[in-house]
Amino acid sequence: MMRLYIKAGRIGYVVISIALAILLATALRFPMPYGTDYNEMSREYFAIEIIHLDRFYRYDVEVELSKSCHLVACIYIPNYTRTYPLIDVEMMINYSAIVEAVANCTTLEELKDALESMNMTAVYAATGNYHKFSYESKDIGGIVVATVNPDRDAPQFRYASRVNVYAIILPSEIAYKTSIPILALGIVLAAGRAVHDVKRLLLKLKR
Amino acid sequence: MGRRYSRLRADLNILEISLSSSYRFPLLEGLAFLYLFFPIVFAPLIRAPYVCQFVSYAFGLPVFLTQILILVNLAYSVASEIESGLTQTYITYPVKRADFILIKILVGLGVPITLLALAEAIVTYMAFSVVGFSLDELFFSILASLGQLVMFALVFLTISLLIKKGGLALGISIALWFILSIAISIFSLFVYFSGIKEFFYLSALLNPTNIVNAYYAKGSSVLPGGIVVEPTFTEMVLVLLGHYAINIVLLAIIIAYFMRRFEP
Repeated sequence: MMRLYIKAGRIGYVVISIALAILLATALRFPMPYGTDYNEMSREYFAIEIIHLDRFYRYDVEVELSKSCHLVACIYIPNYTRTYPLIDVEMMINYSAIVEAVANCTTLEELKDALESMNMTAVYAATGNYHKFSYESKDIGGIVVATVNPDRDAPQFRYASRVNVYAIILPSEIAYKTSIPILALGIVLAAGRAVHDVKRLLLKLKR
Repeated sequence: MGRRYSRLRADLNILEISLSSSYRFPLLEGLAFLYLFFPIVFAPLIRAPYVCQFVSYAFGLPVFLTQILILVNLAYSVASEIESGLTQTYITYPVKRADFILIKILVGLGVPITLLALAEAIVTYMAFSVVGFSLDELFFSILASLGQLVMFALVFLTISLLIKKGGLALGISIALWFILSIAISIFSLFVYFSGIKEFFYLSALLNPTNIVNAYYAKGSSVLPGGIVVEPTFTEMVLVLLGHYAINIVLLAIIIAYFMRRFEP
């Protein structure tokens, strides 16, 4: 029985490799490089960036602005891709309606009302060059990030110079929850063989 | 009883020798690592809202590598062993020919395919657990992604048994792999441009990923003229069963050939 346990230790090594691969790959995985899909709007008051996403769950949105601006992130465009996979989400997101709604607003309050009337949740961030926020939902098809320069009465927009959306499709917590039990199982399976291999190695070294 | 025991021991011995000669340390461990590492690292770049699409896109490279591994394994552990006379020695052991070929299939095909299926299941579970997915979608997607791999592997095994020379079997298998892949692609193109739904099902018998995609990613399979292929669950299962039936027939032919006709 012991001999079989030692022989089967390779399975333990394989299981350990799987757990290590999950841990290492999670640490090194690519950030979600969803750039801006639609950013050449030239409205009078607000700059908006519309980013559509397929099925993701959590967004860590980072906005770095060329100058200090107020950030308005308007989230919750229903995920149409799940319901109508034939139709590209770009077609379903009514860009012109969003742009029109944003273009006609002159204050943050108006913008908030306009977006909420379009069934979008508005999230406000403070004034600054750098904004970061997270949002979690299972039913997101897209995200709208609007910026406004608070220094002017009728603010001309400044583009968000960089909007990075990191959709965490392999959340670290899940990676840890998955890999720790696998690692433990691997260690249990490989222990006998590891001891055996180390002993053999030491014998070789002694010789 | 004693006879059965000795046969089992002989089987286990052959299994152990085959495993250790085909997968020297740390080949299997490295393979397991790579199978999970790359799909997880690149997963955030993949835009695939459905499990079936995710499995196809994320595991394209691992499936290709597995195919190569199986190809090399079969050429060297089957054809080269026949060439060097090792197979002849093995089958003089108290071991059945069917057992012997099944062990070779288990080591050459079974191990890498199991590892790949395990990697697909783990990565897909991690990627979709927050969004939600159904187990049947995962099961059928994995089954579909492995189907063609198994089919090609059985063709490689047939070639190794017929050619009986490692290098030559490897060369012919690679050539046949390209020919089969091109033929299936041309057939798929023909199916697409013909716009006939029945041909779609026929091509799915060779590449069942298509039908699983068409079923789960509803509306994603559109033929020219706007003909949407929307198979029912029963049709999808039947096509998958049909595909695996072809594989089982191939396997049965190989075992029957090895038991009755094969001369080392």
